[in-house]
Amino acid sequence: MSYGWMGNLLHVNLSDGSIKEVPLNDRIKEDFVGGKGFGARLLYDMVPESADAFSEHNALMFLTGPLTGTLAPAMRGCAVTKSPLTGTFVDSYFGGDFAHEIKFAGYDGIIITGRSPGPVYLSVTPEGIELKDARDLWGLDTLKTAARVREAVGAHHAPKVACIGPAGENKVRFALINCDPNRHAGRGGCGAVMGAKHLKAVVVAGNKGVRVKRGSGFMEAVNGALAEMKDNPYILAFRNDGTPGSVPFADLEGLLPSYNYRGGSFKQAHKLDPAAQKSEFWLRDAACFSCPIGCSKVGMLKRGRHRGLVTDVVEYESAGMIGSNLGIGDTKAVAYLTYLCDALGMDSISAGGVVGFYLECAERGVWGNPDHRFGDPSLVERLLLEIAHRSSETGDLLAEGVKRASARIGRGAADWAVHVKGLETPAWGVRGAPGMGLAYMTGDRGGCHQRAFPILYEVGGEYWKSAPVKRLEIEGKAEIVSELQNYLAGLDTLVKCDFGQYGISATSYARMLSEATGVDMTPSDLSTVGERIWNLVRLFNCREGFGRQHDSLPRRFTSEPLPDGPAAGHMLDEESCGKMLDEYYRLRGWDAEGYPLPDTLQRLGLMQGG
Amino acid sequence: MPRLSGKFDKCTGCKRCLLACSQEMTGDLFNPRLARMCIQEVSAGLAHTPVVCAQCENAFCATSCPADAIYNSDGVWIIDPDRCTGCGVCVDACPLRVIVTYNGKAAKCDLCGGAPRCVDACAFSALELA
Repeated sequence: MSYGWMGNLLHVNLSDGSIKEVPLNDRIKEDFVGGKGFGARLLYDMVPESADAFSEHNALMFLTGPLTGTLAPAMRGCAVTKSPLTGTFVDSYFGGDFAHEIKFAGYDGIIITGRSPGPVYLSVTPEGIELKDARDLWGLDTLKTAARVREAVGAHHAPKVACIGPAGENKVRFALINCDPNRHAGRGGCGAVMGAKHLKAVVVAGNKGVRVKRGSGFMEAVNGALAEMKDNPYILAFRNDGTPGSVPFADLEGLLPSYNYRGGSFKQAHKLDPAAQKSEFWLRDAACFSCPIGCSKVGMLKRGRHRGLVTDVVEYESAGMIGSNLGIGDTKAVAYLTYLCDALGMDSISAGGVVGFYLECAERGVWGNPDHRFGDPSLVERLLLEIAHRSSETGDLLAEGVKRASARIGRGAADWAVHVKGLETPAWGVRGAPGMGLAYMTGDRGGCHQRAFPILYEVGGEYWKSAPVKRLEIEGKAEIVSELQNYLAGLDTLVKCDFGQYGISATSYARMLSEATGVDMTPSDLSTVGERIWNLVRLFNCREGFGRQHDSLPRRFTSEPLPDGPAAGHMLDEESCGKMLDEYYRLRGWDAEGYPLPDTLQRLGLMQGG
Repeated sequence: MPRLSGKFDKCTGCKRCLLACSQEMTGDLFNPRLARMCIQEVSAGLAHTPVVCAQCENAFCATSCPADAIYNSDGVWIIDPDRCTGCGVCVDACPLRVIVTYNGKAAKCDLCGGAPRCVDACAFSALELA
């Protein structure tokens, strides 16, 4: 009998069509727990050095954690693969129902290897597991694909779908995987890997139950977590305003990217905030599976060109990257463009990054049509379509991401290509938040705000270890970043939701995990698991050739002072970056080039076989 | 006996009610398919509607049961597990699709004896016992 975990991974090799169950061993359960941990261990072991992310040698995994599928509040799943955008390990998280359904089908994860000769989808239902012809689905957008696949399997099964759109099929390097219902494994191009494997969709329905070891203890732990969340001001803010609640804060603090990150505030930010969204379309709260927060909002556009469109909240990241970063201060337009990204199957963060990059190229007369300007939703719509279908020279170029596009354009374009390790950065400027800069530099999948979010302490006023944090200080930021990275990587094994963790204590997470699995773990054990994962992922990235020179920030952040907001005039020069990095490597037990030292690996049990 | 009802305007589709119901019936298993209620998605995701046992006046489940295993107790239809043969006729006869079979027996909402777990599990006040 297995508790928390279902006890098996499902491995499907698309090259030869073989399907097998792989039992989880105790070692991987205890050392890596689930989610990101399983992904780190398996990707390191399964994907050979320097494998092309689009080749049959890459693996794509959908992973859950021991708390996924239970009443533990706000749990998710993740997709893990070698990123075609960065060449690093990538883990991309998705809410909704899909991850939970993997557990109900009896698995802790689905591993896809090889490459199918033609378009297929994987069907996992109580009637059996099979690869089915997907030629008639190829070309459909994500929403139509999911509907068609659900229909094919049969509504009586209540199946859940993960699928790609045209962007994934065309190997747009930042294509996403759309997971029921319209939640996304967005970052790092997991959808492009799926497209390269000719896997249009995965559909899952299961009758098995997730069993917990100590039922009453588990419910006590769950109720404890719920009680913590109930009056937590962050949780209440997510409930009331969703993630766009951060728009006014970021705008005021000079953290909101505008005009391809040139600015840190946006005159029309108030047209993207929760009040604007409420007045244009919100009708109700929506929640992911087993989440008591309900940070998503669903509604119908009531005015304008796209009147009648049913769509979700414009998340903060989309408001920032498709809105302010492209100079668009119109909720209706941004809601539609974000919907279009979802339907085409592209990450709206990277999409906003590449379009912003292109518009600056055009404005400077370096590439594209010199009449193209920021602030034009119709132009952005055309560009998104051209990118997803690679149907124009510009679209085909931008589908490669800003790093490759800027290298191909030349003429100094790399100076305004805003990315770290090839991953377009999210909607948080870092020139007025050095710790956030370090988090971008050292993010395991490239420029990412989810591996550590020191802005909360630097700008948000939260105390770090009972003391206030000086916003522009360089020293001490490495400790915040490395400890947050370890802690959050630990929680990414469960698999936690980024927003849920604002309200749930480490003690509650550890307790829910222990009661569910019967394997007792403390908060500090979880952080150690996180540190182990962080080092193993670093080993993977080092094996792919990454090192200190890649732990860097784009020129925009290091050499161009922020023009607006309370930190106006500031930037993160090379010297400051170097100092933070030295301190960070020292705390991590890595050498000056950023390679984990043998003692560190020994301490974390990573010396053998990794 | 009070009646249980669901509100689409409050429901977020989180399905915590289904997990609580599943755990209540099985003792230790979580799967929304083991719940004696369901959540219907309507209008391309615009809303979710909780569907709960209506404790019907004209209860098709009870009338259709070939073993006479479903009886009314103070306004609540209860399945007598000793009489239930698990034939599944009630499952198919229920127009709301809120009867399931588990361990060879039919199972339906009995309002948890008066304090329904689903109501307690809902963080959004979308289920009401009134």
